[in-house]
Amino acid sequence: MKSIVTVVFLVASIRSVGAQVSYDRLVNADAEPHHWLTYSGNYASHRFSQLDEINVDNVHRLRVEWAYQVSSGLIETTPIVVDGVMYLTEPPSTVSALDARTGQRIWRWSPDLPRNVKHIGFPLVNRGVAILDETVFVGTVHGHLVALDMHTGAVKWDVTVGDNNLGFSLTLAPLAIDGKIVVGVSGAEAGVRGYIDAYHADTGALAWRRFTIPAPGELGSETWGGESWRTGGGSTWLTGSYDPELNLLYWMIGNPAPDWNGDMRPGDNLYTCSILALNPDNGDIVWYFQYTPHDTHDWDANQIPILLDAEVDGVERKLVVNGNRNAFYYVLDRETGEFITGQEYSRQTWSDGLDANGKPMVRPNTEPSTEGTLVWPSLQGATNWFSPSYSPGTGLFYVSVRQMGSVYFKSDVEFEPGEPFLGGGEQALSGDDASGAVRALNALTGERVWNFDLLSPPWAGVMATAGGLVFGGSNEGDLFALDAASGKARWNFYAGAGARSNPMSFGIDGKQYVVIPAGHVVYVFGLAPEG
Amino acid sequence: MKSTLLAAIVTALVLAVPVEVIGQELSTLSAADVAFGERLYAARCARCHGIKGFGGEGPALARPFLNYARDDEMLVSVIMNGIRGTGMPAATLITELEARQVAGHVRALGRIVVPESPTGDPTRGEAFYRGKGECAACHGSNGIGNKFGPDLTNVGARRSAEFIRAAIVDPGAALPQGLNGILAFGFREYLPIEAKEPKGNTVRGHRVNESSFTILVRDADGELHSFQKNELTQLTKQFGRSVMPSYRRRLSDDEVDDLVAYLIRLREVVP
Repeated sequence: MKSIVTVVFLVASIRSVGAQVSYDRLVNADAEPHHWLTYSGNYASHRFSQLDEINVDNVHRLRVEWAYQVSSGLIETTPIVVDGVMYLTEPPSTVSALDARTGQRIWRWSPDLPRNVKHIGFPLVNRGVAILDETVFVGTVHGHLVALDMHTGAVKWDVTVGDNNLGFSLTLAPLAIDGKIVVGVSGAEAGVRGYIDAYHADTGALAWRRFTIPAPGELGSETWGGESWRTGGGSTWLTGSYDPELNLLYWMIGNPAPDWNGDMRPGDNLYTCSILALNPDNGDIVWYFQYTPHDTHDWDANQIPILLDAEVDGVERKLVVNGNRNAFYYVLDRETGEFITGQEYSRQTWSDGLDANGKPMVRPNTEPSTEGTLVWPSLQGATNWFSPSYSPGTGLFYVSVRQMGSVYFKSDVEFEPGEPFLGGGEQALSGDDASGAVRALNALTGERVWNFDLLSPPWAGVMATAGGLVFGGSNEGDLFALDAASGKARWNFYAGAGARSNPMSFGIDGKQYVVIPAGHVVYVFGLAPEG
Repeated sequence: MKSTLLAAIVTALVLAVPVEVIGQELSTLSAADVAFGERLYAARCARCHGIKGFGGEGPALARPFLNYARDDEMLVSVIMNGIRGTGMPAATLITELEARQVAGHVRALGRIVVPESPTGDPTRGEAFYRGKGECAACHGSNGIGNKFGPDLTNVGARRSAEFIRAAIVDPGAALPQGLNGILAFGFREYLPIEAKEPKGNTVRGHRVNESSFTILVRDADGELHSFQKNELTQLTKQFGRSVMPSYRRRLSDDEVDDLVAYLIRLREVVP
């Protein structure tokens, strides 16, 4: 009798006392495709679902299974789904846990935000949580990283990552690795000096901090004139990727400050508009690659770096690829940072291309000016924070593209802590003078394979699936599925308000669900029964 | 740190601008107030609305009527409190005084200055509008639009004489920016559309709204036509054209002056 009771107790308590979402589960996320365990679906940031119940032949039967209304504001969240529970964030920094079958809320937590949170250069949004063991981690717009009990939402610890009075803020989903939680900061438009932080997951103690602007004497400091490094920007506001085998963390770095007046910061301004490969044990820089030296158009590199392995010129290579805000697609060796290839994937007028080292050949007279300079792409770039997707099945890189030019202006500006530090502005070509698209690129070259036009430049990412589909959303409110091989539209649903988030997918009891937020609603779609 | 910053801002504002500006009508703000508002706008608003107010990620502001700010007090409130559920945030660390200065600049972006009184005869212009010009057929007999033509009620308060003149002689070059749906993001209103359906007929009209997958068209009879774009055999957007005919050759210069003089006086405020 006693042994039976013991067995029953052990079974009942597995979900409450074990390391429910262990680091090993995160490393092997591809082995449980019915769950979505990290912001981008796996450490390689493929945003690819291996579920194929919903496919090109039956996607016309997709219907809303349930929907969740967020409190207010803009939804940019990617939910995490594990063991039947969906963890999502609501603007500005609220976390909700929902029954993934029905949408019924289990718990909800909101930080005690100050009345006047500073958010200079971005809206009050949050892109999601990280989960590790029994804990959910969320960054807040007032610059905190908070650990919550995954079962109750109770606060385990709360640390300040950056002083919001100076413009620091957290809008990204944290990245959970082995025992550490990695986050970045927003704030370049306030002239902060950006950094990437790693915190011990169990205590919240700071493990390391990697500044993205080198101080005098450090490697790269020669790329900053005068004292400009102190206010050089380089925010780190989007989740990075991780290679557990190489034990390298890949993080994308934002624009220099002030944004549009480059005269105030002569030099290449390392490591702005770059990718950093970091040792996650101590934050040391193993290699770097700068996409846009001395950027003056706010083309930060805060887009998702996708990790993939493939044969290049007969040699198996470990790659990191990126559709950059500056309108070029890049393929790098992720062990060394070596530039392999790259090309334009959306209209641009600022560079004659990339040289053999991947450096842009910048055209004259493309800098912002007092009278205004018309350049493609606009400050919001050829793409932005919203996610691309990589399908191992098709070998294609899918990306939402913004085809929009802008007149860039330069002006004088003085730095004041916690105030906008921009040095100019832009007037984008909008309406019928701009457009959007979803494009499929050969992931190894960037060559365009197909294009699907969108009316206006999108703010939503894409997700490819093993069902041969690419899901996405338009700025006008269309949620859609395209044929991953051809780009033909297979399904669309008018949501009534613009989508500005990333699709994701999960499964329960053998049924696949696709999640695409739009407006104030998180829509969860599934297949209607046949007939 | 925060209190020091606030104190500095308050001190600067007290030195820079008279306190009486609070509660003042925006139209009577001083040039210095509006200039200060322009600086604040460039730093805090232009990123979404564009430094010229022509829109971008956010809607265009360089137009006389704003959907969420029909009057000046609403505009100040929108700047201070944002618009719930949209991308328009509440301004942080902004005083009412600063909000009024920004609002003054926003109104300046949307204001169409009337440099001189039109020289035509409004009585003759009205007779033409109601008579041989056939304007009322699409725009209504009292300046109140029917389903097809733009509502000209109060057009004199919304448009300059120059804009009205351009719309009469070259309407395709004077399509206004839209206010409805996605059109509020810098798209042209009344854009002529030709939509060919698989069964062979062609629907002609102007665009009411559009998405990546659908388009809504109103024809000359005022009927709405809703299309899935991928079900059309051809969809043509006639940029640079208008469904309104040009009156360049139908009217003499004096008659155009008369018509402009009539329309510019349609400025009665309708609640």
